[in-house]
Amino acid sequence: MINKVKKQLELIKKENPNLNAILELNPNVLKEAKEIEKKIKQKKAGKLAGLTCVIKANINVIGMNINCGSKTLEDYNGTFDADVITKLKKEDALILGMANLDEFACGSSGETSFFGPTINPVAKGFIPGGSSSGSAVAVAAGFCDFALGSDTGGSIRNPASHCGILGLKPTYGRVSRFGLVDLSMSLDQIGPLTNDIKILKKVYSVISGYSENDPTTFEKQVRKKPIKKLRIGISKDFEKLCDKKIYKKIKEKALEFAKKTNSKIVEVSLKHLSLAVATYYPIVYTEFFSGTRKFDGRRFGLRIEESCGEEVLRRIQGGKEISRSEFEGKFYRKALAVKKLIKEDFDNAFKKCDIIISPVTPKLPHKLGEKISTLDMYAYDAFTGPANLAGITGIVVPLTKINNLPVGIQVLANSFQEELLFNVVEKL
Amino acid sequence: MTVKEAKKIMDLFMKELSRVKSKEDFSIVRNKQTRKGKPKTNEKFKERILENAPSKDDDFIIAEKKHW
Repeated sequence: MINKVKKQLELIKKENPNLNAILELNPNVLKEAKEIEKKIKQKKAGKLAGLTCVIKANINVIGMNINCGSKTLEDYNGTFDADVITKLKKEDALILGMANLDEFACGSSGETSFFGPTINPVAKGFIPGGSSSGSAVAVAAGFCDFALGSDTGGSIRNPASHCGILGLKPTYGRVSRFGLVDLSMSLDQIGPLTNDIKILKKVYSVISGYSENDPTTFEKQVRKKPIKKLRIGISKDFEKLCDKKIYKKIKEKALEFAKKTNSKIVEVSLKHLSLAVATYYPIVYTEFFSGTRKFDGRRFGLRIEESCGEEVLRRIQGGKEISRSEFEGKFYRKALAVKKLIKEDFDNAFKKCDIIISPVTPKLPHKLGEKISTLDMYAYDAFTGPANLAGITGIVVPLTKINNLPVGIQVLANSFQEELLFNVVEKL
Repeated sequence: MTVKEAKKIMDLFMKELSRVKSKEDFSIVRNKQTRKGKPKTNEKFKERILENAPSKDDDFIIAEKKHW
C-alpha cells in the first residue's frame, strides 16, 4: 500500500504540472496510508482499503480546499465531510487530493477553471471533457485508482469518454448530494470514474444509499432483478443528431453485443431527445442562479458576479433573466413540463427494452483552446443530459478511437438498475 | 455582452420549447408525512429577530431596501 501510494505521488509530482488535474494534495496522505496499512495487516480494514482516489473540488472534504475551480472560493476550505466522503473514509479509501474542474462545474470541456485548463493525457492537444475534467484525467494518467465527480448533464460521462475510462452517473436519489456544491439541485448526482469495473462496483456500493441529510435519497433497497435475455434499445433519434462515424461504431458494437449475448435489438422512440439541450439549460440557469445567491461576498469567498468567468456569469445572468418577476416562472415551468415529456419517452422506451445503447457525445472533442460557439459547447450535453432530465442511470465505457481520439459508448438503464448496467459492462 | 448573449440563448431555447404542447402540472400528492409533530421553534430567537426589525406585521418582518 505505502509503496503504491509513494509511486502514485511520484507520478503526480512528475506529470501533474503538465496535466493540471490535481489542485491540492492531501497533506496527511502518507500518515493515513500507514494507518490503513496497519488495519489491513490486522484484518480490520474496510471494503475500499488499498484503493486511492481524488475528489472533484466541488465535494466537501474537511480541511481541503473546496475552490470549485473558481476565484470566488479560491481560499475556501471544507468545514465538514460530504456524505460520500464520510462513507469513503469509513471504508478506508485513501484520498490523495482534490481534482480540477470547470468553474462551478459549468462547462463540458475542462477549459473554464480559474486554475487553468486540464490537459487530456490520451489525446494530446484536445480537450479532456468536463466538468469533472481533473477526476477523469487523474484516472487516465494513473494518478489514482478511482475518482469522484459530479454529473448534472454529462459531467462524469463526457470526460470519461474523451479520456478513455469508465464513468457512472447513478440514478437521481441513489447517492447523497449532501456536501456537494450544487450546480442544479434537481439534476446533480455524484458518481465514480475509474479504469476497472470491479472498483467502480465497489465504490458505488459504498457511496450509494439513503442519507437523512439528503431528502431526495431513497430508504428502500434496490431489488436485483436478473435478466437472462436482454432487449437492447437503439434509437434513430440519437442517430439523427450524431456524427456518422461515431454512430456507425456504436451501432456495430450494439449488434455485436446482441449476437454475443443472444439478445434482441429493439428500435425505440425518444421523440423529444432533440429538445434535451433547450430543456436542460433553462433549468440549470435558474437553479444555478438560485444556488449561487449565497456567494455574495459575505459568508463564502468573493462576490461571484465580480470574480467569476464568462460561462458562470452567462448562467447567472440567464437565470436572473428567467427568474424575473414579470415572467412569473413561466420559462422554468415550461422547461419542467418538457422535462416530464422526456421522462415519459424513457418510461415508454423501457417498457420495450432493458437497456439503451447510445453515443456519449454527438461529435468528437475539439482542440484545446479552439474557439467554439456557446451553442456548440452546449451541444456536447445532447446525449448525456437526457439521463439527468429523466433521473435514470447511465454508464460510459471506452469503445474505440476515431481519428486517434478515444470514443466511449453509453449504456442507459431505468432508475435503480445500476446492477444491470454493471452486468452489461462486464460482457460488453 | 454576456447578459445579451444569455438572453439571446434563453429566447432561442424558449422558442424551441414553445413548439411543444405540454401540460404544466406540478402538484404533488403525499400520502405519508415523513416528519411527525411540529418543528421546534426557538421563541427567544424569534423575539430578538423581530425586535431588530424596523417594521413588522405580526410574525413577519417588513424589509425594504436601505431601511433595514
